[in-house]
Amino acid sequence: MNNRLQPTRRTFLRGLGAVIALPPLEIAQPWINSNPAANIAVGKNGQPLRMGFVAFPNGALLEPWKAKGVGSNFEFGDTLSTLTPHKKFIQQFSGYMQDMGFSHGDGPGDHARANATLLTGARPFKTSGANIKLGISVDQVAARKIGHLTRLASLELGTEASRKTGGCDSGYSCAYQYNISWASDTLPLASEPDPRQVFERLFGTGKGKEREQNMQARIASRRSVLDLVLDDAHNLKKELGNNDRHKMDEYLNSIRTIEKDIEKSEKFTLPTPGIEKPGSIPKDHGAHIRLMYDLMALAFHSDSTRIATFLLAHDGSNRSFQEIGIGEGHHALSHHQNNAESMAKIARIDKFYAEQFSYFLKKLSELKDPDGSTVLENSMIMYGSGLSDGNKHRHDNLPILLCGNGGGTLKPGRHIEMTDRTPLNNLFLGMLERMGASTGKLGDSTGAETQL
Amino acid sequence: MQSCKLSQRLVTTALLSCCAVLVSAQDKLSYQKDVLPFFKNYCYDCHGDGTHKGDIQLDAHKSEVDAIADLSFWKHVREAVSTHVMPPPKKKNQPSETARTMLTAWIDSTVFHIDCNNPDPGRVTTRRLNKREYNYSIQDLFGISFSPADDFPPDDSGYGFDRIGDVLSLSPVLMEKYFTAAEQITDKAIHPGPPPAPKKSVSVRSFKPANGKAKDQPPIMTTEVWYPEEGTYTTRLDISINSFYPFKGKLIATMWVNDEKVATKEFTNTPGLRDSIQLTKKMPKGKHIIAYQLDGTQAVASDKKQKIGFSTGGVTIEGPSHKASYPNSHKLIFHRDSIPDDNAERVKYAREIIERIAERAFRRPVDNQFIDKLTTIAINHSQKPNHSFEDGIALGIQAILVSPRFLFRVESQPRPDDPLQVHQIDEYALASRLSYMLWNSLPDEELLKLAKENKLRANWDATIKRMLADGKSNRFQKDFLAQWLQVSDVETISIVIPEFREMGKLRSMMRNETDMLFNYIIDNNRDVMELITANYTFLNEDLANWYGIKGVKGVKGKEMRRVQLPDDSERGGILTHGSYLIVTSNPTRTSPVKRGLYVLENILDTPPPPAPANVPELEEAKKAFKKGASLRELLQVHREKSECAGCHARMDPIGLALENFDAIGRWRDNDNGKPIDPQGQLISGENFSGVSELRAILGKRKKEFYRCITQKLLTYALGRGLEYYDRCAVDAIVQDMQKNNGTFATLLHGVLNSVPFQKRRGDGDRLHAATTPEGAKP
Repeated sequence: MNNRLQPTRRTFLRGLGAVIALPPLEIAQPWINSNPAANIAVGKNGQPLRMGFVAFPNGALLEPWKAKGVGSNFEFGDTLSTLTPHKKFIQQFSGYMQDMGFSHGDGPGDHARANATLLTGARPFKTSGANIKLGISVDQVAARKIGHLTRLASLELGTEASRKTGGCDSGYSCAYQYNISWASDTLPLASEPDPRQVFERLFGTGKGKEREQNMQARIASRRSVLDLVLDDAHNLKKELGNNDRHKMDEYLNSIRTIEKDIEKSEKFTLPTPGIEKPGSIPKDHGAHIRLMYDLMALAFHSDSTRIATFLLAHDGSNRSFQEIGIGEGHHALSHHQNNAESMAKIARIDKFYAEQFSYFLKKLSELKDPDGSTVLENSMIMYGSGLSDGNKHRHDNLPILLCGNGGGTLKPGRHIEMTDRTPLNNLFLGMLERMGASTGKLGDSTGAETQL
Repeated sequence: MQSCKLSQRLVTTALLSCCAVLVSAQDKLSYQKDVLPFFKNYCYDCHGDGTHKGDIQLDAHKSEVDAIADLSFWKHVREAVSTHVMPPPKKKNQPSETARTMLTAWIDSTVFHIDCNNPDPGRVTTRRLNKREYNYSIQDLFGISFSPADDFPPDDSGYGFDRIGDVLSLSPVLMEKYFTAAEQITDKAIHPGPPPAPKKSVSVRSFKPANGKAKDQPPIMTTEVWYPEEGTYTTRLDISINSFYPFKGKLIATMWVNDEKVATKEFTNTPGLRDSIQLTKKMPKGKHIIAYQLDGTQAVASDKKQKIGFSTGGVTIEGPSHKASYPNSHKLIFHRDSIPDDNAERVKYAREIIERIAERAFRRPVDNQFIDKLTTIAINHSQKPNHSFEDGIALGIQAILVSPRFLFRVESQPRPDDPLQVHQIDEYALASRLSYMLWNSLPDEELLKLAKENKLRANWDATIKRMLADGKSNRFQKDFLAQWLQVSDVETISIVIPEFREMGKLRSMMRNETDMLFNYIIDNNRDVMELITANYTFLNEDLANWYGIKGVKGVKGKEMRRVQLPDDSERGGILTHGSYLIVTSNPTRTSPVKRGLYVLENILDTPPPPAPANVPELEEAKKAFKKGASLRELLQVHREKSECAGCHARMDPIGLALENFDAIGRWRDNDNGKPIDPQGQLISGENFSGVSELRAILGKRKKEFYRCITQKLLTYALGRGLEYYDRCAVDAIVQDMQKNNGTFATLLHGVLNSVPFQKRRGDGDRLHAATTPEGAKP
């Protein structure tokens, strides 16, 4: 089926280089300025403000992760040393906790809970299937409030195209262990691992002028179908019982989102990609991750969205890292039982992920917004895991970074030690405030973080 | 991992082999005389008389009535007692199995009102089609080989299967993909414009240079092509100029057919252009010579570092024109020979098409008004500028494919919110349940017709037989096995052992081995227990060599075939298949714990009890580890620590018995230079010296195995997790299997005929809606 031209990664990156060389994308300007509510989701400089959440699995080996020193006088540990060039854009935190990750009487299942709680701070109802319940995630709180400002309300990226069959962690449905973005208590948003599909969501299908034409043709025909199916779904809903009505609500909500997208598409023209369409998923894992970071950077730069999540792998992932000579599975290694060799390998995997993240920060620091400031300056990117010590399954003292200047609203370049067991959701409240998407409470938050 | 959870709660019930004993016994049981003394004897040390360890207090209820009404309380009690979590194994004072059974029997009858003569069928949440079902439904509906759902996000699974209504959610991104897929589907199924003539491609590779290798002149490439009969053919040379960069001078392309020059085309500075030269002509039957020349010698790229790409994708021959015909998928949609000119007749035709497809896609008759609306959409669209009748129909079909009635399997109910309203599902719903079970797809016309005439139940067995005989039933066998025993994972799981990588297709051979064993057992009406105990397996030469199977002669070549194993062979049954041995290993080494857990959960129906609420920190265990300890020694720590022992004493001996098989399925006598010690003892007391004896012991546990496979298949069939009230259906099927030599046919018919498959009730909490429980009377 796939006999299209498949550009190599090099041509793809060359394409991206071309984007960087261009003057700041003009497409970003019209709706930033024409928006009457221009004071939301923008930084102090009036440029669009982005929030991103990057999740890595199985925690981190804490010794090499730890920062040395507190405040602005700090050094990264070995794991994060690769981020040193971007140090002035980074806040490293110690002491944050996702308390709902702990069992609270629900028994084992720490990986499912680590994944589920990371961006929600909510307690996952323990079930293999019936009555799944968690809580909305921070990115989706923002998407509800400011998603209308951009063509896509939010973007959910991942790397895992296939899943193991069978059940997931200790009696938790796989929905908990594979999704970090939750649109509501009950609706997880799957992450997209395929770079080609992300590209098509961002830039449409077809070449040159075709893209816009295809888009318009599709919109016209979809519009005529929407009313009909919406109507029918309402009728159908009347015939159903409570749980089934709930399923129909998922459908209705999705149809309404598509309606909104159509309205938006009249306001926003498709951005020009400036890059070639990526082919299939790269075999090399690092290349795959970097490609997804490229697309996330492009999505931010073209102001296609201001909200994105990236699940590097589900918690409990047992992938091996042959790219860096590590054959053992990540999860199996993370239970290192203080074996020095295993610990060294875990540290190496942590560093591998950090290196890819460093690539992303570099990319963001090279992309310019209309006023000449960089996308990194106008961003808040969280990088972290729902476990701290993978060996012991701890959910406190989580490894968490916040990167970017938040459009001048953050004071990066510091290591901040929180009071022990501070809810990570307090950080999220602080980020939401800056996005103009404040919410009184999220999950187990106790108040917006004031030290950012 | 999902375990056979239901029976975990039921395991003690099952110990009483005869249901009649249970029923007669429970009449005499009472809260005061039987339940309370049990609590006093075995539980109050920690959970009564003023103690409330873990916030559990068994004597907190004010009265018997209050106690009986506290359903979640009894659910916990039942689970803890039946799985031997409570009293804790380290306590000396343990109730007998009979006492435990007494307690669970009382809970079942008095608290949960389980009445197998009038069972609760449960309810199934409206199910979205999963990716596989979506693909098969589209393929079967339109006759196209196209898998649009491959682009959808992965489906979440629950209870070990990706078919659970409560778990299959629908996000806006997925909805967007449904729209895109619908558009792609009609593009593939409907052919725009007049019917196409037969088409043949002649690849560039079949052309050879005719004028030698003259240096100053580009070669003339020729080939011979067979034209099957006299008729009008279009012979076309496709040309592309690939360079992105400008060039100077000209590029020249020429085509000849039978020495007659068709045309010469010149291109000046047209980077990225695609063009063609073609000849449409009446041709006699026989061989014809086609030739072309691409001359790039008279052009130079403006940027000298760049090359100009001047090439052809080959020659296409379309014809003879009198054989022009629409593809099958098109004919399946457009059932008339031509599209009527008359407007009213067109509307009628559109309506016919829409109604037929909607009925198939929705798997039940469709409301007339809705058909009218769909027809209107189609006709309106077809009347737009540059739009055809086919375009209109395409849009109508797209609307059908994004409708909730296609995407969800909706079952109509008389009183959807009344949990006491039990009814047989209507025959349309039954037809869908059956076809999504046996075919992973929508009902075909024959099945739908039976439902329409309300004759499906009357022709039930014959219909099942017909459906199983259809090749589409392979989808079910393969999918069920893949998910239950995780055999498909052997094709994707990460293995980092160099020798394995050199062995190419081993992964799919291993999957085939297990698939073939399962199919063989089904096709030959063998006892499903042979999945574990078979003294034969399925091999080809490569796999036999890989396994190092001794004494098997004549297994040559690539074909997998049934091989009788020698009596002293260690192989036989899935526990010695590469599929199982690999999916339960880590990328570089075996994992006895995973291997043991798999057997408990998927084979034996004795999953370990839930781990203690607060898992002890692994930190403490490490103290006991010494350098160079063997895996067996390391695991010993697990079994000695009381918090771990409950589970690991069950899992580890099984996994350790299989240590003679390495992480890639080969036999080994040593690990790291140390001899493997496979002997052990199951928690139930049986001793074994290694894998063969273990297999023999497991082979005797038929009832547990039947129960396990029954629960898995019932979950698969229903699309929901099993509940306490499904116990009746499961017990009946297991008994039937025991009477009928454990055949898969008995199991399958048992599931398809079971109350939860045939009936349903409204949504809501049945227990609280129930009338006053009998047992509540003082």
